[in-house]
Parts: sequence; C-alpha cells; structure tokens
Amino acid sequence: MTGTLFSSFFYGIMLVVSSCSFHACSAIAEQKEKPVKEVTDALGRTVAIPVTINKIYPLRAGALRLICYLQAADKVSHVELNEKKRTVPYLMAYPALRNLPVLGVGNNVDPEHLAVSDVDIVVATYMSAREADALQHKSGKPVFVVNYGDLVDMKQDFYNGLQSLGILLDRSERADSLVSFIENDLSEIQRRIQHQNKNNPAAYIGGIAFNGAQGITSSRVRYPSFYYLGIESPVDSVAALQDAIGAGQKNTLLDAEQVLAWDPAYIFLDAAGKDIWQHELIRPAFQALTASRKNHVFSVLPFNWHTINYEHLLCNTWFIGKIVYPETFADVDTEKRSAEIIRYFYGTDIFDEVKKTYDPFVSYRGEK
Amino acid sequence: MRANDVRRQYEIHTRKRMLYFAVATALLFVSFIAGFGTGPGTLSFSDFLTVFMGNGDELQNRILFTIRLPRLLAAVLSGLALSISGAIMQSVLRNPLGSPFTLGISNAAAFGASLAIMFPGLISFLPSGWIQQLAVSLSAFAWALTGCFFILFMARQRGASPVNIVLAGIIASTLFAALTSGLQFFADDTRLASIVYWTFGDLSKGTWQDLYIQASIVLPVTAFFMINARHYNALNQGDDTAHSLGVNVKQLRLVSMVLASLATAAIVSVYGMIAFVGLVIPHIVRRLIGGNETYLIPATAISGATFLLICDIIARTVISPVTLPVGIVTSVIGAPVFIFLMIKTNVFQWRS
Amino acid sequence: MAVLKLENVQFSYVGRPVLTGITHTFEANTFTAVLGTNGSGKTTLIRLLNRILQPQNGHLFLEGKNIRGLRGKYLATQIAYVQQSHTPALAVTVFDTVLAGRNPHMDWLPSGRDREMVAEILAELHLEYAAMREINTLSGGQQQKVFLARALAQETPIIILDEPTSNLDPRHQAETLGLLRLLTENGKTIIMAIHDVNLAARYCTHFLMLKNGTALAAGPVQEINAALLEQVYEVPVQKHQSGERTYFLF
Repeated sequence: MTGTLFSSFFYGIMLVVSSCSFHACSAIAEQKEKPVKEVTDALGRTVAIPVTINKIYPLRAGALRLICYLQAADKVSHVELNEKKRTVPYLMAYPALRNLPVLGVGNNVDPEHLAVSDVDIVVATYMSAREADALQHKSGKPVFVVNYGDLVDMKQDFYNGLQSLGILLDRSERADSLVSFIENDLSEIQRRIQHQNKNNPAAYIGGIAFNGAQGITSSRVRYPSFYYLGIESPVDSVAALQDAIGAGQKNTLLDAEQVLAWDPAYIFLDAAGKDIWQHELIRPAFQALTASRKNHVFSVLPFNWHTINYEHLLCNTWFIGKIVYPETFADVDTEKRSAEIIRYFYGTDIFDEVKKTYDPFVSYRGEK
Repeated sequence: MRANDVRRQYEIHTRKRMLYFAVATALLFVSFIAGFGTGPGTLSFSDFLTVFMGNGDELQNRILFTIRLPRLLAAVLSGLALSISGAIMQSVLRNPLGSPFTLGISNAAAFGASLAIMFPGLISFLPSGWIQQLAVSLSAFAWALTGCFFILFMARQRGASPVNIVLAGIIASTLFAALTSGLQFFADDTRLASIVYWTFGDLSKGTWQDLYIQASIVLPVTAFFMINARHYNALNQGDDTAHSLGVNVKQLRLVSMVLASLATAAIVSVYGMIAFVGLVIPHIVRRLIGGNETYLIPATAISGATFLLICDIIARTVISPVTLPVGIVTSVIGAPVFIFLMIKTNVFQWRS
Repeated sequence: MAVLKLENVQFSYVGRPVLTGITHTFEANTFTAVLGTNGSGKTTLIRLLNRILQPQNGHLFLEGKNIRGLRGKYLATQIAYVQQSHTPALAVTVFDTVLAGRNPHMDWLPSGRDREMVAEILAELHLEYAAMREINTLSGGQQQKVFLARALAQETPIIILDEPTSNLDPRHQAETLGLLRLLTENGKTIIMAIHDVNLAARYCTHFLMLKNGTALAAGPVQEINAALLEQVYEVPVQKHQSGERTYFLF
C-alpha cells in the first residue's frame, strides 16, 4: 500500500517535471557576423572580440566596478543577480544598473543563458585561464579576463586592468586619467609624510570583510592606507608567515588576544563590519585598550566589500593621515577631499549617500 | 504441485521488476528528451530536426552539441555513477547508510581536487588541457581512496554496524570538509573563486573530454559491478556464508569499495558535490523491486541517471534565468525523500 | 568412506590457542554433532572445515585432497555452510536467498535450471507460501529453514551448520533436526555444532566432543555417557532411560 503510494508520488514528481519541457518556440536571435579583432587579456589569452562593443556582461567581483570607473556603465547589458541587492557606491552612482536583465547569481553563469544573450563580451575578474577558456568555448562569447589587483603589491595589475579595459571599451583617455589621478593622490600623500620624522605610530585596521562582514579581529596585511602613510601595522608580521606557507590570502583573522597584546595607538574599523564590531567594542577588554581610552578608534569606509573599493581606499588614506599626522594634514578637509575623490571616480556626486550609508570617519568610544 | 505455486509467484514478481525497468527506461528517455528541450534558447521540434540533419546555424549547433548534450550526458553519467556507487557501498558494507557522500568519500575527493586547483604548481609540468584535468581527477581519486581505506579500516576494527560506519563517515566528511575550508581560507582571491565555483555541484562545467575520461572510468566500473552481481547477493547472506558460496569476500569488498570511490572521484572532480543521489536512489529502487543485486544494480543505474536529469531540469527552470547548482536541487529533494524512507521503512533496523 | 579428515589441526587467535591439535575423520553419510562447552572451539572448528579460517598447523583433507589447495569455487560445490542466526542486512526475498545458494553453479545470471531447483526445494520444505516474502519478515524458525534450503540449493555432498537450533522453539528444533537426519539418510554428510546434548543424541548419528581445544571423544552417539559428560561439563549428570530414548539430566 505504502509502496504503491510512494511510487506514484515519485513518478508524479517525474511526470510533472518532464512535462515542462518544450517551451513555445521563439526564434533565436540571428547572430550576424561582426568584424572582430584579436586582443590579449591579463592571463595572456588571445581573445577575438568584436570591433565595436556595446553590450558587456561583467562577471565576478569588481568587474562591474572597473567598468563604472571607466564611465562605461552604459555599455553594460547584463548583471549578476547579486548586484540587485548590493549596497556599493557604483550602484549609488548608476542605480539603473540594477534594472538590467540578470545573468547568473554571481561568480558563475549558465553557459547556455550566456550563449543566447546578445552580450558582445564577458569581462571577468578572478578567473583562471581554464575557467575562462571553458566558458568561452561553451558560450561562444569572448571572455576577457582582467586582474583586479590591489593598491600595493598588485597596483600594476590594477592599472593594467583599467588600461586594457580602456582600450577595449574605447575609454583609454579615461583610464589614463584615472591612473594619473590615483598616482597623483598617492604621491601627494607620500610627499606630505616625507619629512615626518616622529617615530612611526602603530595602527591597526579591523572589521575588514572576508567572506562577508567580520569583527575587529579581521584584518589585512599591507593595508594600502597604512602602507602609503608609513604607518607601522603590527599585522604585517603575519605576512612573513603567510608567504612561508605559500598562502596568497592577504585578509587575515586574528586572535582577539593578539590584538589586545599589540595594543596599537590607533584603531581603524572598516564600516563593512560595523554591526559586528560595535558590539565587540563595548567589551571591557577592548575598552581597556590605549586607543579606546584615548578616543583613537575610528570608522573608515569599506575597503573589501565585493572586493577592493579603490575610491574608498584613497578617502581612507586622507582621513587616516589626518588623524595620525594632524599637523601635516592640517589643511585637509577629509570629507571635502573624499567627496572630490568619489566624484572623480564616478562622475556623480554621491558622497552624501556614501556617508549616510557607512557613517565613516567617526570616533567610536564603544559606549552605547 | 506446490513448486508451480512458487513458479507462479516468481513470474508475477519478475513481471513487476520488468515493469519497473520498462517504466524507468521510458522515464529516462522522456527526461533526456525533456532536458534536450529545456533552456533559454528554446528550439522547436522542426528546429531539432534541422540541427540533427546538420543544417542548424552556429548558435543552434552550439546550444545542442556544446552545451546541452554534454550537460545531459553529464547528468546521466553522474547519476549512474553516484547511485550505483551508493548501492554497492550499501551492499558490501551491508549498511543502509552507505553512499559516497555519507561515507565522506565525496568530501575526500573534493579535497583532493581543491588541492590540485590550489597548488597548480604541483601539476604545471604536465602539458596543459585535459592532462591537467586528469591530474585534478587523479588527486581527487587519491584522496577518495584515502577516505575509502579509512572507512574499510574502521569497518574492520569496529564492525560495519550502521552506527560505526555512520560515525566513521561523519568523521571523514567533517575532516575533509574542514581541510577544504582550510585551503579556501588561504587561497588567493582567484583560486578562492575557482574552488568555491567548483564546490557547488554543477553539471554545466564538463566538456566532451571530461565526459570521455569519465565514461572510460564509470562504464567499466559499472560492468564490473554487473558481472559480480551474484557475488553481491551471496555477500548479503553474511561474510562466512558468502565465503562458503565461493566468494573471495575480502577481495570483493576491497575492490568494490575502491572502484566505487574511483567512480565517485571521477564525477566529483569535474562537477563538484552532488549529494543524496547515492543514498536515496538505491533505497527507493530496493523498496520498489527488492534487494536482488542482479536487478538492483541496473535499475539503480537507470533511476539514478533519470533522477539527476530531472533535478538538472528543475535546476535550470525553477528560478530561470538563474540556474541553480544541481547539488542544491538533489539535496532539497533527496533529504525529505530520505526522511520519508526512514519513517516508512526499517532503514535503521537492518542488522549488519 | 572418509569425507573430511583432520590431521593434528591447530589454531590460535593472536597467541590464544583455541584448537591444540585435533585429529578426526568425518565419514560419509553421517550426521555428526560437534559438542563441547562454550569456548571449547566448536565454531572455530566449523570455520576451519569451511576454510574460512586456515589452521596454523596440521592439515584438512576433503576426500583425500588437502583443502588448502582447492579452488574456492570447487570447494563451494562440496561444502555448504549455514552460519549462526544471520539475518540479511538488506531486504531480500526468500526466493532470492535460496537462489544465492546456486552461486557456485552460476557463470553470471541464474539459469532456468537454477530457478527451477529453487522452486522445487521451496516446495519440498513447505516454504512456497513465503517464496516472495522478505526474509526479515519471517520467524527465526522459518528463517533457519530458508537457510537450510539455500544450503540444499548449493547441491553439496557436505553441509556444515553452526548452532542451527539455538534460537528455535522445541517444535522448530525437532523439525529442523529431523530434516537434517532425513538428508543424511538420503546421502548427505552433515556436521553441526550444537549445545544440546539430548538433541544431538536423539537426531545425530555421530558426535565429536571437544574440550580445551582437543577432541576428547568421538564415535556413534550411542557412546555418549554420563561419565564423559561429567568430565566435559564439570556438573553432575544423570542418565534416564525412557523406552528407547536416552536423556541426560544436568
């Protein structure tokens, strides 16, 4: 009895499922032969791409951000599902991106959906050559990979990514101007601290997102703002260990006791982890830290939210500079400078929204 | 004539089994064709004819032969491999909870593959392309074997009772899952994306080359299981009895576990984790046609392939245009089905 | 005719001697009870006869041939084995259980003759009503009969059983042992480990008494006496005679 019931249940499922097969036919968009040219991507792959690109599908973390930096958001034709609900400056600047048709949830895409779409090219970050070749082979769409890079060890990767995308999307001037803007900003900062001879203060960055929001103990070796400001970061001692075991990951989760033992003079906390660290800060152990007692705990803009927010990083560097070296940066209005930077990166004035969202550059005493 | 009575009962029983085979095979074909017809680039029946006559346009050819056909064959091969691996593991360990996933062998294979992805330097001396893919599979297989020997060791030390085997399986799968997380924790962002992408069971990843490699492993393994079906029946009578029935018990158990692990690794190393197929399908089939391995093994193979084809169709349609990893669908369907089986049958009362 | 012969067979489990040297001959067409206290080595002896275990010293001969050198498949056509109360772990029908006995005679799939034989044996043992039932749903006595049917399907001259009656009620004990006796009369050689001396004395033709890993006594069951039993079990034993039947009271 149960056997029959059960089997009919099982086959019921099967039949229902198999009946939703052949959909009403719709003609597949005619693929016209477009003129192509060959380019080489960051992985050294030769990719044949259409001469004119009007429909881009950015795949994986940060690809869409780079395109927004280049002011080519209007050429984006599809987005990953995750972009729809993400809170990031590039979507504040270009909210219409949220309304674009979806391809993939995030990180990967069904090759068939890609194949039948009218996408001209896939711009992908964080992808191995094998994955890129496989996706290109299956979908028939050119997959152009850029290295997203960072602002310290892999700065050149970031610049190369911007410039190669600039050529691809006919935004070379914009790419060059972005690179020199960043370079100018960084050298201006470095120029200011050049004659800083007071012994380098120690500072700690916490709350860096890593697989989602994290608390105080989530940090990063060679945090770019510290690097350019000549600030000594005790976390950098972990770098040697990471190199030794061949780990490529720069985010690091520390033991809370280690943070307490370092007792850094300044603590900067990434706003991405605010919901977590604001509860941690009120614990007596953290209250006892020198930085807490001296009111040297500050929030900064998210650094690693859906990978690196370069514009935030520059803003943070100015802010941290002003906190740590008040005299050297006395003439700088951090908020004004941040608004300028973000306006430069996105071409729109969204700093008010950024500020409202993240509440950065605020001193936290860890009181309620 | 009482013997006639037995003959009549046997015939009825056989007819039931044959009916199952007929229905299951028909369903396999129906779901295969349904799978062929499912997708965003919908094609009419006449389009299909055009494409198969060799007159399709570039996109139609691509969709059918580069995307859909390998994907469907991947579903068939994976469903077959995982479900008969589960059936064989249940049989040789005489344990209803045996399956590549519950015994930690899927996780071990996943760790092996992650390791090869994480340290491509170790295999970079190999010519690129499918040989490197083979190296990923070999690493997956080596670690799957480690998991397999651990289970056999535990079964030997403490007996193959359901509790012992499940505990050993929990230990193995937790350990290997932790090791894989460890790799992810240290992986740089590109490799992290690769490993995460790969861990989701997804049938769209495979190429024709992957399929050739898998078929050349899975089909001979299936043939071995089929050829030895009568020995599995003997084994089910108890080790000593099987021995007296002319079965080399230790050797058969070892070889079967190794081959089942090999088949699992061949699938996991390309498509990632696809849970519950190996656990649930053999149980359903056993419940419907009985435990005679001669029928159970082929019926499980057909049903497993059908099940995964259907799960893949669901994965591709349920929240289209987004495609779910098929591993999510098999778990979401498999878990309640297993709970149903647990309540309705005496899964946990079987003795070893 | 000597069917199974043991020559100074010794066996120990990791340093713990179980059988210290047994020499005995099982004759054809006999029904031998292997008797002895718990731990006297009955099950070990049974498993040695079956080549599930190999002796560290001594030899076993099957019709004059050392069983060490025989092929497994050949041995399986000579000796059938019914292990102590074993229920299959995974659901199997009675028919398929008995069909498993045909394993040594199959090349791959069971033939029509294999199935025919199963049908006949089931009918002969009055098991036809249960043919397609799962074996787990049968009572212990019925299961024992099914396993015996499997051993018969194996078509071997020798059948070895380990405590076939241990979980059975008196009616099923009588039924099973009566059947075994009948098989002996029809040409089978049967060796059975059993605890119950009275059942052995009533149904078997011969006995082999084990004590401390040696064969203390052997012969026709009529030779079992109170003195021997007192020596083995170390409890007082009384002999009662009721008509032709002899009972031992412990």
